Amino acid sequence: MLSNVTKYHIPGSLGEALSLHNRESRSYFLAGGTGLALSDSNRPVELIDLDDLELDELEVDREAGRLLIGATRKIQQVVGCPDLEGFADGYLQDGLEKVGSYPIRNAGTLGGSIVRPFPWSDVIPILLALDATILYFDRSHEKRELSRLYDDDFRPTLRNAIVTGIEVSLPDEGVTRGSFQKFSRSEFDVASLNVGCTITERDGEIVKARMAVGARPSFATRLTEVEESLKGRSLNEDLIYETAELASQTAAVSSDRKMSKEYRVAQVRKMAEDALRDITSEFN
Amino acid sequence: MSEDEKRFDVVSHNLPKVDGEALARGRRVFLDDIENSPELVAGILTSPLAHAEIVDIDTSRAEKLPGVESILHYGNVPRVPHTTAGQGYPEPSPYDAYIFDNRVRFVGDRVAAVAGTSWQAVQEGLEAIEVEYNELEPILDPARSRESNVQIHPEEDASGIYDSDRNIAAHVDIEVGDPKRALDEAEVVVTQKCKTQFAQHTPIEPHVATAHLDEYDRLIIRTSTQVPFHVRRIVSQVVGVPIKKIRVIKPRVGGAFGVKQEILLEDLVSLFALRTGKKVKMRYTREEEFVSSRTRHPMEVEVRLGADKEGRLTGITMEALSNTGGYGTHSLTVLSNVGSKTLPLYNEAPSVHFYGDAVYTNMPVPGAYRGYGAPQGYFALEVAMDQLAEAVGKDPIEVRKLNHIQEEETSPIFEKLGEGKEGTVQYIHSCKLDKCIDLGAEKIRWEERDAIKRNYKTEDKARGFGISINMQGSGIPLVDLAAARLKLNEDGSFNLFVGATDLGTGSDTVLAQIAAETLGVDLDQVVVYSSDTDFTPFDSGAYASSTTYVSGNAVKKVAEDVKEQILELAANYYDLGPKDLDIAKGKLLTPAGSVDLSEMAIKTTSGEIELDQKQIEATASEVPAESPPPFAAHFVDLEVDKRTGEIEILKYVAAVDCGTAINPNLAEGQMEGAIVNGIGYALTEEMEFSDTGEMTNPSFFDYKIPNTEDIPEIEVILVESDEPTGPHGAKSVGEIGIDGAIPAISNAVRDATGIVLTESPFTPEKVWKKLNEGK
Amino acid sequence: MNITIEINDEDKEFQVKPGEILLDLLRREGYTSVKEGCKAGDCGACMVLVNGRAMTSCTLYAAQVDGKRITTLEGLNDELADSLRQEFLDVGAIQCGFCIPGVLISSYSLLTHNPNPTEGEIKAALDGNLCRCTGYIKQIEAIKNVARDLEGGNNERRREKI
Repeated sequence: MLSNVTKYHIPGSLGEALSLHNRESRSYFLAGGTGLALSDSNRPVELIDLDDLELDELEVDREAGRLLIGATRKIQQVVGCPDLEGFADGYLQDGLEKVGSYPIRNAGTLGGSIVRPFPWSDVIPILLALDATILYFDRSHEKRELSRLYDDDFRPTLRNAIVTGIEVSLPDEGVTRGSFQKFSRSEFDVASLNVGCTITERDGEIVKARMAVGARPSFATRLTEVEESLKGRSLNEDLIYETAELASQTAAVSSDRKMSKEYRVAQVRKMAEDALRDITSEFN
Repeated sequence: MSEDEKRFDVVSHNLPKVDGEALARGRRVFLDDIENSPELVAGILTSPLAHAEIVDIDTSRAEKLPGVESILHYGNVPRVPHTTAGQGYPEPSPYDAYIFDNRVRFVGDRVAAVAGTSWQAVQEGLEAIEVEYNELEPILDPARSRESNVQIHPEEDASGIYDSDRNIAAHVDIEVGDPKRALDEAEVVVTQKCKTQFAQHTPIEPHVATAHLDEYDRLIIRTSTQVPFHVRRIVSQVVGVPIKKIRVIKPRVGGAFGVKQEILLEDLVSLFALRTGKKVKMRYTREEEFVSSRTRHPMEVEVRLGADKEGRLTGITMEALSNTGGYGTHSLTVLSNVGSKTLPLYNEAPSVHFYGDAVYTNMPVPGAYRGYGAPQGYFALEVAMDQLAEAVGKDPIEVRKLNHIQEEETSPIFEKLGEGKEGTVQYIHSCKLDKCIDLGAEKIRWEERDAIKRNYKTEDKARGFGISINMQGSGIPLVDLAAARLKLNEDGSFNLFVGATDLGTGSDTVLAQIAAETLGVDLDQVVVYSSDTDFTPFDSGAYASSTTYVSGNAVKKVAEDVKEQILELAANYYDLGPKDLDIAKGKLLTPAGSVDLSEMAIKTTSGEIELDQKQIEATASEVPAESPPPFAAHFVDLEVDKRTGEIEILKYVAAVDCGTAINPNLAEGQMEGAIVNGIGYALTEEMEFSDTGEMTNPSFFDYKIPNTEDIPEIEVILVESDEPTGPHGAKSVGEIGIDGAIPAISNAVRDATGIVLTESPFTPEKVWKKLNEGK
Repeated sequence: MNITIEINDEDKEFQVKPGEILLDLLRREGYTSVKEGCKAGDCGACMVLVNGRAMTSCTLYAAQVDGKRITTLEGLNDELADSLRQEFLDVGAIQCGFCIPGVLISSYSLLTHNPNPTEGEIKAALDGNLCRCTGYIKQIEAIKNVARDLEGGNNERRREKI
C-alpha cells in the first residue's frame, strides 16, 4: 500500500503521460508494478499507468537480426515468444528466463527494469551484451545506447522521459551467439554477480564480442578490454582461459554482504569461462 | 500391497487428509481468513537497539490519534516473570520474560503495542510513541558473554536462570563411566568442533492471533499455535484471568516447525480484548516473523571420540555452547537434547561426558525448532565419525554399524539426561537402522562410489558421497500428557476429540486412522475435532515428535474402550458373550452374520427394549513411559565446483525407521519437508546481522529457503518396524528428517575434496576459501 | 476510484484507493484463498491469474487490473482444477495447505498452457511458490500425474510458453 497516493492516471497518449509526470514531481510511471509495489515509500503521490499506451509490441526480423521490444512487454512474454526463438541463438530468451520467478516475470517489464535499474538487474547485462539501444519519449522520440544508462547526463533525461522500448541490432555479418551466467545464493534470488556475453563469428573468426558484468555489486558495466582482445581471434580453450583471466582482472568488482571482492574476482573468471565455453559449444 | 497394508484395514494406507478438501479449495480455515475483519487490529513497537533501558515512554501523542484505541507498555501492564516457551508445567525454561519490560534485550524486542481500528491507525500510533533509551553495551557473542560484566538479566524477579551474573541461562553436565580415562587411554582419538548459524523456521503463515470476550465475559483466544493448552495456562498466568475464563481455539495452522510453540501474540491480544472489550487481531509481518519471533539456537559443539584400532568407541565427550539470545526460552531443553538425542545412538561407548552452557546475548531469541538441538549435535558427531573411520582405515558405514545401538539394547544416557532434568531408563524395542543403512547405501550406490568418482572426468568438479545416521525421540517420557475422547453417534459414526494439535502435518488424519483401525470402521466414520480447550481433553501439544506416538496411544486406548463398550452392549442385546462379537469394516460381526454398526448405534439412543440407553463414550489419557527413537540414515551424492566452491547435490537418499507408518504418504511428506528444510539449513539459510545486532536480511528476498528449482532428486525410503509400545507399531517421524543434511553434506564434500566443512551454512565462498587454504 | 474486474467469471465493481494493493482488495472483498505470506512478491501465497497469467497479487495495484479478468482459487472449478486438487490429495502433496492456493494457481496455469510438461518445466513454473512443509516432491509428483492423465486427451502442446 502506497498510502500517500491520491491519484491514479491511465493516460491515452505519450504526450499526456509526460505532461502528467511533469506536473507532479512525486509521480511515478507504472509499467509492471513489481518494483514500485515493493517499496513502502511514502514518496509517491501519483501513479501513471502506462498500460494503455500500447507499448508492448515486439517486432523481430530474424533474418536481419533486428529486434524491437516495447517497454511494457512482460518479461515472460519475451521469454515465451515463439517469434523470438533462435534470436542470437536463444541468448535473449534463455537469459531473461533467469530473471526473478515465473510470476514476477509475468508482471515485470523490460522498461521497468531499465527505468528502475537495480545493481543486481539481470536484464541490463543481458541487453548490454546485445548492444541494445533505449528508445524513449522526451517530447520527441529519442534513442540512446543502453551502455550510457548510468551517464551523468542521461539519468536526469531519463527521469523526465518515458522509456518506450529497446532496440537490438545484431551485426550484419556473421553469426551471433551468447551466454548469460548468473550466480545467486539460491535459484530464486537476485544475482550476486552476473555476466552477459555475446560473440559474433564469421568464418571461424570473432568479428565482434560483448561482455558485461553486473551486481559487481554496483551497476552493470561492459568489459571493453575483453571485448577488444577477442576481436579477430578464434574461440578455443586457450583463448577462453586467457579471456576469463583478463575478465577477472579488468572487471571492477568490490565486496558486499553477499561476496568478498576476491571471491567475485574468482567468480568472474569462472563465469566468463563458462559463458565462452557455452558459446563455443554452440558454434561447434 | 505391503505387508502392513495387508495387516491393517485403515492404518498403513495412503488415505487423503481429513482436512485436505477444505485446504485444496482454499476455504476459510486459517485464522486470518476466519477473522478477516475484526473490530481492532494491533501491532508492536520493537526495539531498534540490541541492549537498552527504557528511561521514558511517552504515548500521549499516539493516544490522541484517530483510530488508536489502546496502548500497552511496561508502565501499564502487570509485571509477571514467565517464559514464552509453551512447555509442560513446571516449565524447564527460566522465568525471564515479561509482557513488557523497561529493558530491551535484542533488536526486535517488544517495547509497546497499539490497538486501533485499522492497520494504518496502528502504524501511525506506533510511530507517534516516543521512547527514550539509555543504551547499554550490547553483548553479541556467546563466548564473550560468559566473561562479560554486562548482565543481560540483572532483574531480581527473574527465576530459574542458572547463573545470571555470568549470563548463563542453562547448564548441563552429565557423565557416565570414566570418559577422561577412556580418552586418555584410547588408541585413536579424533576431535571435531562444528558451528551452526541463526536460522529461521519461516512457516508461510506468520504468527496470528485474535481475542475477544464472549457474552459471558469469557476470554476467547484463537491462535495459530502448537500448544493451545499451554497458551491457556500462560495467558492466565501473565494476564491474570483464571483458566476457567479462557478458551483457546486452534484453527488450521499454516506451518509451525517449533516457532509456534511459543506465546508471542496471545498475551497482547488478550490484554487488548480485556481493555477494549472488542475483538482484536494481531499478525506478524514477514519481517517481524524474522526479527521478533524465534530462531534456531546457534551453537558451537565440540566432540571428542576415543576408540580402539578397530574403530570401536571407548569414550565420547561432547561440549556445547549454545546462544540463547535475549531470553532463555527452551535454553535448557534444547541444550540437553544436543546430547540426549545423539549420544545414545553410539551406545558402544561405555564412557560419555556431555556438558555445556546456554548463554544469553543481545541477539534474537532462539526457541524450539524441528530437531531441537539434535541437528547441532549430529553435525559435530557425524563429521567426527567420518574422521574416526578414516583414522582406523574403515568404511564410514562399517564404523557406524560397529557402534550404533541395536534392538533390546540401552544407553545410560537415556536415564542420565532427559528434558532438562534426569531422564528415564529405556530399552530399544524396535531398530531397523542397519536396514536403513543398507537400503540407503544401495540407492545411493555407496559400494560403487570409488568407481563413480574415478570415472567422473571433469577437472573442475569433484564428486563425493556422504552419510549421516540419526535418531530422535517420540515425545517426552513421564512429562507429556495426551488425552482423547471418543463418542459413538447413532449412525455408527464417531466423534473423536483430541487436544492434539495438527500443524499441517496431518496428525488429525493420522489420529483418525488409528481410531478407525482400532474400532474396525472406515476412516470416514471418524470425525475429528481437535485443539479447543473448552471441548477437547488436555494435550501437551505438538512438539518433541509426540503426536503420533503419545496422542496416538491415547486415541488407541480410547478406541479400545469404546469398542469394548459397544461389544458389551451388543452382547447383552444378542445374548452372547462379548468374545463372540467383533467389529470390522464398519460391521458388527455376530455368529449369525454381520449387521451394520449403525443398527446397534441407533439403539443406544432410541430406547429400544433390553438395551440401556446411553451415550457410549470414553476418555483416555496417555503418559508415555518411554520415547522410542525413530532411526534414519541419510546419504548424499554431490559435486563440488573446485573453481568456485559451489555444491550441487545430485541425489539425496534417506531411509527412516519410524515404526509403522500410519499414513505412508504423510510420513514421507514429513521426511521430504524436513530434508529440504535441512538442505536449506546446510547451504543457504542464515540470518545475518549488523555489528549492532540488527538482522540485515529479514525477508524471503534475502533469507533464502529452497524453492522448487533448488531441490535435488530426493528419495525417501520407509523402513517399517513394529514398535511394541506404539499405536499399531508407530513411532515418530516429524523431526528426524532434519538431522542428517548438514553432516551428510559435510562428509560428502570431504569425500570429494578432502576439506572438512565445520561451519554452516556451506556457502560457495566458504567452501572456496577452504579449498584455497594452503594453496 | 472505481474499477471493474471480471473476477471468477463475475463482473464486479470495487471502490479502491489509488495506492491500494490488489492482494488487500481481494482479501477485504472475501477472496481469502489469496493468502498473505510475505507481501513482497517472494512467496507466491497470494497468486492469482490475471488474464490467465499467474501473478503475485501483492505486487500489483488494484487499479492496474481495472478491466481485466482475475481468477482466484475460489473460481477454479473446471475439470483440470478438480483433477489437480484430487491428485494433490491422493499423493499427499498438501500439508499445512497455506501455500496451496498459490501452488494450484501455478499448476493450473502451467497445465493450461503446457499439458505435457517435463519435470524441469514443472519446477520452473512453480519457482515462485514457497512451501516449507512438503519439500515440493509430492507437489511435483501430483502435477506429473495429472499431466499423464491429460495425455490421450488434448495433448497438442501450444508453442507459446506463457
